[in-house]
Amino acid sequence: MKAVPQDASTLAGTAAASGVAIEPSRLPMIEGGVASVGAALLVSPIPVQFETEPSAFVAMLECHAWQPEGGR
Amino acid sequence: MMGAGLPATLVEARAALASGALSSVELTAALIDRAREAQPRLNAFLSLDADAALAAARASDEARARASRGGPAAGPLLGVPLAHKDMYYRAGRVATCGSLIRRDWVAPVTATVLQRLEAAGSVNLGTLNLAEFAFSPTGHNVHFGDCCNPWNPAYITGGSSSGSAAAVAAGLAYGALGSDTGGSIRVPAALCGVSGIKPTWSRVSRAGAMPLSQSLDHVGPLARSIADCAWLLQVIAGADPADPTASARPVPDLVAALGQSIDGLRIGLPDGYFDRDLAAPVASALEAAAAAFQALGARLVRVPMPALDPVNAAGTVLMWAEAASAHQAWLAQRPQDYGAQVRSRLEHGAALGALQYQQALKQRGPALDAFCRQVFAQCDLLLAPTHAQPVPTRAETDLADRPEAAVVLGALTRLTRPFNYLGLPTASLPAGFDGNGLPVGLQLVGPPWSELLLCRAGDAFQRETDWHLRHP
Repeated sequence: MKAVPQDASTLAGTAAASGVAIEPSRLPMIEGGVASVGAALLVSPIPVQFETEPSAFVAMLECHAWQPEGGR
Repeated sequence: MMGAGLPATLVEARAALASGALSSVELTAALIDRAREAQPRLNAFLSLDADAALAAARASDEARARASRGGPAAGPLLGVPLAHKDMYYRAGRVATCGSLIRRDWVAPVTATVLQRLEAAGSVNLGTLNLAEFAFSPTGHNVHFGDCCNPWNPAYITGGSSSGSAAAVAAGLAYGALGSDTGGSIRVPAALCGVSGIKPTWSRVSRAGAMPLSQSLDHVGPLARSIADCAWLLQVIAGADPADPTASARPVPDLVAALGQSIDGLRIGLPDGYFDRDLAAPVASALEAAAAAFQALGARLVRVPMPALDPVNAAGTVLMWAEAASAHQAWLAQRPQDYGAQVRSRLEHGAALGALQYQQALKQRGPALDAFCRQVFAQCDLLLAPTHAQPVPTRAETDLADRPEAAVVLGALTRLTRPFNYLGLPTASLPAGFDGNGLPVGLQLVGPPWSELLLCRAGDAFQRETDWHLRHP
């Protein structure tokens, strides 16, 4: 499932809500940039159980830890 | 030995200092002279602290003399001159972070990694150029001037650790700290023809290092060789009470891995993603490196790549959003003080929504799981290009906030960025030259916490090849 793109006014509004004013002339470029990652970004399906971050990621690093006793 | 009779590598410098063939004062003074001579051409240094460096060198020579008389043992880097990216804080000293905003900002603390390097006896030559707030992969800097590639100043160094790579390549320092959020150690290492290691996420403390993106920032060394990097990583890695995100996992003896055989090691050659849009010199370098590994006794296996475009996109979302969060107050209050390109990239992050950020974050663990299951079930290390295309010129990439900048910047880090999101340890090694005489770099990628294996394999490659010993 892919992310839904956002239009320029939504993006400007999101930034403005954080106190960041984006000049109108720059909005098309930012719209394009955000759309490009949005198009590639997968949307996760409804989870069977919740994962938390970053603890789940750290746990996964440990889960796949390299084992020197593997003989290589 | 590197021109003018100086040791070429950190390992050689250690040996020369230990044997008494050179004093640290002699070595440090020679590098200061060299750095002054190179500065107008390369702009690698933001500050050269000659007096302090020579005083530290004198102290290290005295410490070595005391050690020889039965005093305290010499630290592993005693007397070795280093210099670091100007985003590692030193209490009471300005840390510009390559920015106008912090041009005069005095750091309140000293970075753990600087403390560890100095406790090991190293000599600090000064601070090195970088991209503004470490947030660009080219090496341009509108506030302090571009850092230039020692192989040809018309070409980019890569970034953001531009000064670190240029200084090591030009023989101005025996090693340098870099930081890597999307490729900022590996890209400049590759484009300047030096070695660099981005360790496993959380392997090295980030306390006292300028934050850019908390999920993706990694601290690591650049140096002439993987053996040199191993010495530096050995000193800086490990748990740190000042950084709760730093892993408590014990650091193996990386130096002991040097000189070891890689007979039987499975080297994976990627099918997909990394073979897309490869320029001929990069493809040739990859082929030759694979043959070199095979000659060393490694077994080559083709490994289909998982889908990495979504990984790349998720990493970009995290980087933009987290950087915008770190910069929110300045971005709101003094946007005019950013360079156009950095401001634009931060504004991308400010415009992202919470759902996109959360989607990018929560896929990280599963993406790592999938990558490890698919790739490291078939190989011990993956061998891939660090960059797909030849080194571009500074003029070609001087794009500020023009729309095509996103494409150019994205292409420069397309092959490195996945491993920041996945947190996997990765080393970049010099592996050839392009048609313009600029370096080509390849990366070795390992499973989590496999720095020892990376050092062993990278060092073995560099005992078989001499790309890392070529000098501009």
